[in-house]
Amino acid sequence: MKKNTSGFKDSILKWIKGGKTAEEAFEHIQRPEKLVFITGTKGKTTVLKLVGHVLRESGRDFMWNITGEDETESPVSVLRAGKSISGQSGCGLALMEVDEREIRHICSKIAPDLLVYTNAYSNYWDQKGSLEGVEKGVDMSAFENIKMISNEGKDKIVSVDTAKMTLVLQMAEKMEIYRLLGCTKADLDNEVLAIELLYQLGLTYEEIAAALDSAEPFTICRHVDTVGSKKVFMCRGEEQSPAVCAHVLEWIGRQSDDCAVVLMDYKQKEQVRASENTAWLYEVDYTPLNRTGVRQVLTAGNRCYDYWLRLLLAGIHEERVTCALRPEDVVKLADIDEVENIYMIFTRETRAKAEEIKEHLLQRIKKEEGIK
Amino acid sequence: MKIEILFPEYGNLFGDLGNMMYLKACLPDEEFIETSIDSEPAFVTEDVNLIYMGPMTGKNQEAVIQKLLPYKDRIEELIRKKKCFLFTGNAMEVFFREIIDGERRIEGLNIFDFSAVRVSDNYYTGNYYGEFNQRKVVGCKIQSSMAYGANEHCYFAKGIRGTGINRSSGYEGVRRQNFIGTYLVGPLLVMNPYFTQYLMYHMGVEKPKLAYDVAIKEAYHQRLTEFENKRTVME
Repeated sequence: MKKNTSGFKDSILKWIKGGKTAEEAFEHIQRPEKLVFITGTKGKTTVLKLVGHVLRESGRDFMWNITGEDETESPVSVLRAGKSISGQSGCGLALMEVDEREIRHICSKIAPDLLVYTNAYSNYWDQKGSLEGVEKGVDMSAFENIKMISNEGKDKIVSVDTAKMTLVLQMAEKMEIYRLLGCTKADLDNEVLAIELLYQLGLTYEEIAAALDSAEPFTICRHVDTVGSKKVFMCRGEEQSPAVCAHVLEWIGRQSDDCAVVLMDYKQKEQVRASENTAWLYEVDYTPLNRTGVRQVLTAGNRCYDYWLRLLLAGIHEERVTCALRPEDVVKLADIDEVENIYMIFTRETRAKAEEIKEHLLQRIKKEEGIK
Repeated sequence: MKIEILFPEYGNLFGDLGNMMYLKACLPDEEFIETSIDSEPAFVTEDVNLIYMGPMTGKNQEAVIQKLLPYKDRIEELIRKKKCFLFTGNAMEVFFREIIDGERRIEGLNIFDFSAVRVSDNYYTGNYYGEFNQRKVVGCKIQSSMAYGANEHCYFAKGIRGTGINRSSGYEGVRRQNFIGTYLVGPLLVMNPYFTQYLMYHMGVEKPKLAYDVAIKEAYHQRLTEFENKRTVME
């Protein structure tokens, strides 16, 4: 087993640093009237941001722990500070994103009124037996007395029109039409989950629908660079996260372009000093890369051959897969003449390397297209 | 030839159904039977060449023990007859004497005189590098329990680097005739081309042929290079 840091040592270290122990941190929290935790392996920030947008648009004040584009603060710190988005103290509603590995502990210390669990389906319970069984073995019994919203409410979806970007839900006894914010399964799940939560928070259909009209559409791609006739898309993945990886791949699979895909969603730290466990690759569906337009898939880094084999098992033709043991070699190995677009899937750890490779790719495209 | 995958709705953690994905690619014309927990296993009445089960949750492990208990004699008979079994991750613990979970003691099928001890507060993760049948075996570990018992004479792999069935043992897994139980995931067959060939041979494939042999061997050799490097951290 991994070594457990002793509670004593932990407390002493925190005391030396002037911090508080985890137990102390929960003291003196002024509980808001309504406390909502949002957790799960994928979609927490997306759901929280969307709910926050609708609440703002409808003139509600609330506390949350979003601090940046993809960054969050500890929910305990935010609750202790007790300041809402408008700077008011003693706000009645708090929405907190909580890491799925900590949810059980936090719920035992301060139980929420509502727990939103993203990326969990009815068959997920049957398969894994417990929420996040893979990571932490969180037992459902930990949440027995907490009202929970999860993707099990998918039966509310009546129809989805990706051409008109609309979504029809059966809510209570009437059909409701909303703007669709994204086309992948995960996008749909996140939007429905956010709508369900907003209803639980007392918003009306009119308020939700109007605010969704002004919401930012969900996006996989964080940044696009255009050089001449070609584009390089930077898509954020997550290390060893089958759910996130599958979402990105599904999105790429839905495009209709001729493209190359660069897989850099490996664990950078383990490339340097260890040997990455690649079992998770077999929990990911790579078949979206099977579409005709995907001309080339470049696998980068020490695990490039593992990815290669996995792609072959997903039915991707051998000729379409290129391995770059040195990630830098992606620049020269990419068949840029054959494609309109290049999708680079990176993670927090590989972001710097992916950006570097992208810059070199852009330079190569410029040179080959004769652009100064 | 028949390959039976026991309870895939349970034994599907850590991507280990990738073992069967790869075996299907190696043996495209053979019959793969997926037996659900509500059905009678095919091995009870049919001649099966390989019985496979992958890792599962602790709760499902208990359901599987109850399910297999009535077939204990049949399983022992098949082991004696040198039928191939491959049980990966905690699936092998089903065949142990017991699984200890805190104060609880869960009785297993008692085909192997071993105890598994669950530690619920953390998962052990790491890599393993060992030897099986004079070939190098590589694998990953993700487990919330460790096994205790004398496997020095009935191990699956002899350790070179990494942890065996528990912290004090370099010997990984259990083996009797062609029954192989191992904590190694990754998936094992995908990571070990020579072991996969060995297994197929003992299943009755005269000339075992690996699917995508160039890719699987490249991946294997790349990992071997890393594991042989002393600077590579194993956990």
